[in-house]
Amino acid sequence: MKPVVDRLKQQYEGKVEFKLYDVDNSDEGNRLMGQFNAKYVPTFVFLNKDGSVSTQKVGETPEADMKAALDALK
Amino acid sequence: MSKAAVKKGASKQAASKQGAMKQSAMKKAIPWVVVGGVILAIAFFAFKPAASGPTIVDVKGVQKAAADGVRLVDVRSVGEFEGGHIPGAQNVPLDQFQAVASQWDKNAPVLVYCQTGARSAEAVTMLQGMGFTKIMDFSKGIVGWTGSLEQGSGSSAPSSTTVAMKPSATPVMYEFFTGW
Repeated sequence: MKPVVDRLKQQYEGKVEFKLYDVDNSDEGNRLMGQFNAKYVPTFVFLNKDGSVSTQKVGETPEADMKAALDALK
Repeated sequence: MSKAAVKKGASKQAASKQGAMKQSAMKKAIPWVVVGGVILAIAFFAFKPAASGPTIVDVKGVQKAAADGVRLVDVRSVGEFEGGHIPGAQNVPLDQFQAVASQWDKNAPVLVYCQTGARSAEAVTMLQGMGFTKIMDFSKGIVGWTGSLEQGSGSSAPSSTTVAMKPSATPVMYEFFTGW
């Protein structure tokens, strides 16, 4: 997933903040995963500006789906 | 391994070391020292407060306890718990453990476990401090668990796991990954 995420990160620079957590090495990542009720890796959680969850995607996700999720963010 | 078990093991070792030293000394002289040592050792084992010490249990012990309806407590983080826990366990992360456990019946058995046994040992110490009398520690932790795992929040203790986050200037995408 990394190349896709890196590409998206560039494309959405300034529009969407990307927060990436290696859950093996991040307590904060683990805490957040718990908070989002995420059980598997990779998990992507898309949050609107108001802090509400727009979409959550689990597992390898096609770039088009990722973009759709990012575009849907308000 | 639990801290308490380490301590016990260490003092046993010390006792046997002492015994060994005294045995070699015995040949030279003073058999009474040996007798004294034996009496001390007997006293140590006879009068150690067995009731408040934790019982170290294995996988079978956990399964039996679960079948007996013993309170089974996973003291790992919410995220770790949701990733997979022993069926029937409730989640009380260690940082909340003292506060939550203080509400429980101190005479009812409690079985604690974590990932590797380090945190459950801390939980045991807290339980002992609160006066719990029947403490069990699955000291191998999840890494030593061979039974099935249950995923999801299960009977997780109520915590502030509301999904909404603080508003921010831009939308946010979180990715959780591992470096496999």
